[in-house]
Parts: sequence; structure tokens; C-alpha cells
Amino acid sequence: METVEKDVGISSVSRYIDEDGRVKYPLLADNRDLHIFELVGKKVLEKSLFPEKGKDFDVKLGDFPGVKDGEKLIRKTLSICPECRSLVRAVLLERDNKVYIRKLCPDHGELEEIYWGDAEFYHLKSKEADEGRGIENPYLEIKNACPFNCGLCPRHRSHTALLNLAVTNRCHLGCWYCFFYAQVAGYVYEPTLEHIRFMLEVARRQRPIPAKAVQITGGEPTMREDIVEIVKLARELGYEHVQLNTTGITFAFNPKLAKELREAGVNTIYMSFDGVSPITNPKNHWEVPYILDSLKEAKMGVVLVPTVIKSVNLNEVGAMVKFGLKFNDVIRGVNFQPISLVGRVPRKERERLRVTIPEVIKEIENQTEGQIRLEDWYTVPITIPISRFVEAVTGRPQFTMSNHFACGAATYVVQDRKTGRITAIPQFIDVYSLSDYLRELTDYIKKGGSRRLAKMKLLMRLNRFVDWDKTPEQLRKRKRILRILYNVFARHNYEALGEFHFNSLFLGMMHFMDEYNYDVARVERCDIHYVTPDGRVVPFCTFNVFPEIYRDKAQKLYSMPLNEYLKLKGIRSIAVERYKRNIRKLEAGEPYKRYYDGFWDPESLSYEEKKKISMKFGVPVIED
Amino acid sequence: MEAYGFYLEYYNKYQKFSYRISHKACGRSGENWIELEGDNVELDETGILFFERLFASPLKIAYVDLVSADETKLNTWRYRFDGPIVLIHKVVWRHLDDLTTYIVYMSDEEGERIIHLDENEEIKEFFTRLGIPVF
Ligand code: SF4
Ligand code: SF4
Repeated sequence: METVEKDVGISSVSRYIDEDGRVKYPLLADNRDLHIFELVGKKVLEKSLFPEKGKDFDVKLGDFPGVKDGEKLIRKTLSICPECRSLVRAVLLERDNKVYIRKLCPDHGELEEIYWGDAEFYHLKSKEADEGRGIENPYLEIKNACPFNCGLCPRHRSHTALLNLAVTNRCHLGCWYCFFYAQVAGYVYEPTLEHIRFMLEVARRQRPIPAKAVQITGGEPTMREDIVEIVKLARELGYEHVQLNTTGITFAFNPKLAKELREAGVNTIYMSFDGVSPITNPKNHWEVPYILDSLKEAKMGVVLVPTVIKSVNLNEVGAMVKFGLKFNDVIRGVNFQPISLVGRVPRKERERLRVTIPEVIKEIENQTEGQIRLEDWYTVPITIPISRFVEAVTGRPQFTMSNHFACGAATYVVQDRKTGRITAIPQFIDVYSLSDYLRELTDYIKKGGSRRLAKMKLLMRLNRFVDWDKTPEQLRKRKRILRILYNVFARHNYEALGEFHFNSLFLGMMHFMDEYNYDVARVERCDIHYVTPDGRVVPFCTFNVFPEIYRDKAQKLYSMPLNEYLKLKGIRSIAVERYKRNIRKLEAGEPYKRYYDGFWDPESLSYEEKKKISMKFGVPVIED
Repeated sequence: MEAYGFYLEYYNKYQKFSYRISHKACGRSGENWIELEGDNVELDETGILFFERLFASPLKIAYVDLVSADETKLNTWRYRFDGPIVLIHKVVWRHLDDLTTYIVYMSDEEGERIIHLDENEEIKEFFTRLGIPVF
């Protein structure tokens, strides 16, 4: 850093920043010297971006809230007061087999919110909790309380498992709930390729584990003409896994782009998919069949990402799993995201919308006729003993998924090709015993035991953790399951899980937080991060829960006013970029019937009703 | 100058390790270092940030971990002294081969420094140089 400052000179940095502390983006954007991005980033951080106590946030540490008769204290923590957004004291408590978070703001009193809808399951899963190693070279010093010091700061417990890179805030949709896209925000945030290079490099600097996986997100990333170049850049910089977070709609009409992206190095498409009917999924219901065909053609896997809302689509979670299994030649997984509430939501409304991880899992159990059970799900840190074992075997620090156990859970399901029966992997693999055995072997190596012998022991013992009578046929054949497990555990090759490919599906769940259920103990362990244009790495659940401090504040400083953007592009309104839907044409195509047959009857709604659903959501409808 | 010192007994239930932190505070009076007497205080926001700046990096512990742990014992002292302060925290890890680490906070005219030293010749030399007995 010192030499850089000497070479470039502080005065040359100041020319990129105006008097209000805004970055003169067009001027900065043309810069090919990455150090300038770094220096400008540090300068704006110091001048205006770093959260300031009393202005951007407050800390009100009064008493811990009380626990009443009939309630049991689980643990204490810190949270956020939704009224004044200050850091306050909170407790997690158990009542009627549910877990609640109760917080006490000295100024606004007590507030309680459901945290996990099943206390027994919470206690069971808390045994899977474990700790990550954090990072050796934090980006910032500690000046503020967590979560107002992002990041990453020395407190943070997890390295970046998945880096989010927002490449635009333009979008071809205008969903009613979104305040982020360019037209509403009034500015266009679109970092240049050189700027993106800087941001990607920032996360690659992390030690001992540089970021390895990136999700390119937006707005709608496919709106960028240079999206293929961005993917190539990520690959060039050493990202082994590149995924694209998209509505998918572009691929429905441009299958060529899917192929180009695949060739450039995209591994997975992360696609919003909120249900099998237009009522639950007005966003891309009509386009999904065409998107899936394009992706299949491009040999690109897709993970469906439903946001689960109690009163809207909780009744379709089973159908979504079955949909994923039926088309698992292209669908690799379904990653459910119980809704996180944005902004102020009255209590009654929260009760109508809110659903938590155990409740979604139980609904999946009900809606798959008990085939995928509650106990088949494991929380993310269950993978940590694997990382430690590989670390011990190789002598090198390993990628670790160390987010808080309450953040997410997952399982793998396999469908028997003949009978159609769905089996979750934990039904035939004893996960806890295997994990204990890995711990035992890790200790053995740490105490000086032979690494080779440890690997041999594992290979010999694996058999004992598999219940062969319950193993689906395709994994029983030539003991295929053992080979996969060995690759995952001894070689740390999660791609090996892709071998489950035939008739199998990854099911995941992540409950992003909001100001009602905010738990500082969780965010401190977050491993899903964003890189900001000034070069910080910020956990997802601060970046999006405090947009005025992190997301919007940083992006706005590096943006271009909407009118300047329009002038640059020679267009009169950003509305020309909006997608318009032709329902009739989409429903008439063969793929539409092929995909939805058995899941949804298009005759059950009139054309006018469908049109209304689409328009109400924010997607205009056109006719030939 | 002002500094906080801590006595902490902490148990990490996830990784099943525990440690005990004790400390000594000294202020420089002329050529000598004298041991300081602190005020026993409740941990306030400034104290929390002080705690985290000392320990978050080497021990991976933050304030929220203290409040959410099943077994923690914490006592805080505040030191005020008109001159340079050296604050030495000794961390004794249990279940981890009796490892001892020293975390030294120094505040003088040149500003603040935090250094981490393992129990070896280096720390003994450091203490001898300052004329502070090893503890
Ligand atoms: S969330 Fe992480 S990076 Fe942000 S303040 Fe807390 S510990 Fe630091
Ligand atoms: S994004 Fe939120 S829910 Fe996910 S790991 Fe981070 S803190 Fe947990």
C-alpha cells in the first residue's frame, strides 16, 4: 500500500472524488490502474462510507429482556431494534416447542419474533454447530460494534464461501417489491470490467483461503452486453465456481447466450422459481419451460431458488421438489429461501408471511408423503469435520463452510428410477457416526499419526456407515456410493457429488435475516458475502438488511445518474429495456405443456386472470 | 491514557476448548514501570470495543460470544494513567497442550500498538526490558 500511495499520489486520488464525496464515476471507470480503484475506495470509505455512530446507527445496550413463566432461556445474543435500528440486547427462548428471539430496546421496549418453528429440532441441530477459522488478513480494523464494522473485520468467523458480485442495478422486470432497480433508484450502478477486476481480486486476497466461488448478480446480470467477458474474467482470476443469479428470462429467447456463458465458465444458473403455477410464480412461470430447454441444450445446470412465503407458496414446496426431480437432467437443486421481510412490516402481516426453516422442511415432508423427512436435513456446519480432516491429511488450510447452524440446512435426495420412490441420502448413510469418525481420524493425524494410514482407515471403514438395504439401486451398483463418499471426504471434491446426477437432487435452505429476527451471532459467522465497489467484503445479512449503510450507500457513490445513463445510451427511457410478456404465445408452445403437465392446469385460470396476475406483479403483457 | 483489563474464563462448547485470561497493567513513571490499580467496572461500549480489538484477531472471540456462551466469567477493570500504559494479558489455553499466549497493548506518545507473543524467550526478554516480572 505504501508504495502505491507514493506512486500515485494523494492529489491524483482526489480528482476522482467530488466535493460531496461522490465518486466521479465516468472518470474513474476509464482507469486501467487497479491501484486507483483501491486508493479511491479507501478515500471514500474514510470520507463518507464507513458507518458512523449516531448518524448511521446507534448502540443501546440496556438490560437483557426477561424470560417469563413457561419459557426457557436458550442463549443470550444481540439484535436490532426495528424502530430505531440500534444494536440492542436480546435472548433466544423456547415456548410451546418453538424458538423466539426477544429483544429489548431501552427506547422502544420489547419485541418478539419467531426464530425457528421447532425447538426440539433446534436443539438437535445445535449439536452440529462448529467454528470456522475466519481470515488472517481482515480488510478493516475494529472501530464499531458488529454489524456496523463490515468488513470483513477481525471478529468475523468465516472466510468467503460464496462471493456475490453485483454487476448492474438495471433489470428487465420491475417487481413491485423491488426498490433497488435503476428506474426506481434513479441511478445506474454498473461497474466497468476493470473495476470488476479490482473487486474480484479483493476477495481473492483473502488468506488463508482466497475466495473460490462467485455469484454474479444484479439487477439482472444478463442485461450487460459484456456478461460473457465478466465470466471469463472471474475464471481468469482463479474462481473455480461461477454462478449466475438471474430470472432466466433472457435464456428463454436467447439460447445462444446460455451456450456462450457455459463455454466461458458458468457452472450453474441460480434461477428464481417461486412455484409451479402462475399464481405462486408470476415472475417467470411462463418462461421457465423455454429457459430450461435452453439451459439443457447448453449443458448448463440450474438451481431453482424459491422464496417461500407462508400465505403464498408454502403449499407448493413439495411440488417444486418433484418438479426438480422430474427434470433433473437440467435441474441440479432447489434452494428454498424462507422470506426475509424488508422494511417495516406490522405484526399481523408478519404472522401471515413468516415461515422458518423447520416449518418449510416439515411441509416438504407432508407434501412428499413422508419420503423426505425432517431428520434427513443437516445444517451447513456438519461439513466442517470434513474440511478439518482434509486439512489434516493435506497439511493445507481448506475451504470451510462455517456459517451459523441456524442459517441453513441441506440434504440430497435420490429417486429410484423404477419405483419413483424418493430417498434422502441420510436414510442410508449414518451422517453423525461418519462425522464422529472423521473427527477421530483428524485427532489421530494431529497427534502424529500417519496421514496415509488415516486415509486407508477411512476407506476400509466407509462401508460400515452405509445401510445397503436402503441404498437406491443406482448407487448400490458397484458400490458407487463408496467411491463418491471417498472423493468427497478424502479428496474434498464436492463436485463428486455431481455423480449423484442420475435422478438425484440437492435440496438446500437458507433463511436470510431481517431486522425482526436479526441475530449478531449469526451474521458474525456469515460466509455469503458481497464485494462493494470500494473494496470491502460485506456479509449478505448486513449488506441487504442495512442497505442505507452498505448496499445502496456504496453503490450510489459509484453510480451514474439515470439521465446521464440515458444520454450515454441514446435512449429516452429505461422502460424500453423492460421485458413484455406474450402469455398466449408462451402457453401455446410444446415445452410449456411438457414441463407443466401434471403440475399445473393452464385451463384453471382464464386468460384475463393470468394477464392480471402478470401485470399486478409488474410484468406488462403484450399480444401479437 | 485509558485502558481496560479483563479477567475471563471462557468455554467454547462447539470446539470444546477453554481458556483463562488474566492481566497486569503498568504505567511508566520516570524510568520505571509501576503496577497500576484499576477500577472494577461493568463492561460498557468502549470496553467492549477495547476487548474486541485485543482479542478478536488472535482468539476469534467477540462480545456476542461472551454473552451467548454457556459458561463465561468476566471481570473488567478500567485503568487511567497520566503517561504511557502497558497492559499484558496472559491467555492460558486448556485442552490445547497448555499453550500460553501473551497479548500486549501499549499506549504511549507514539500511539497504540497491540502485539501477540507466545511463551518463549521473546516474551521473557520483553518483560525484562520493561522491568516487569513475568506472570
Ligand atoms: S458482520 Fe462480520 S465483518 Fe461485519 S462487523 Fe460483524 S464481524 Fe465484522
Ligand atoms: S447470508 Fe444471512 S442467513 Fe446466510 S449465512 Fe449469512 S448470515 Fe446466515
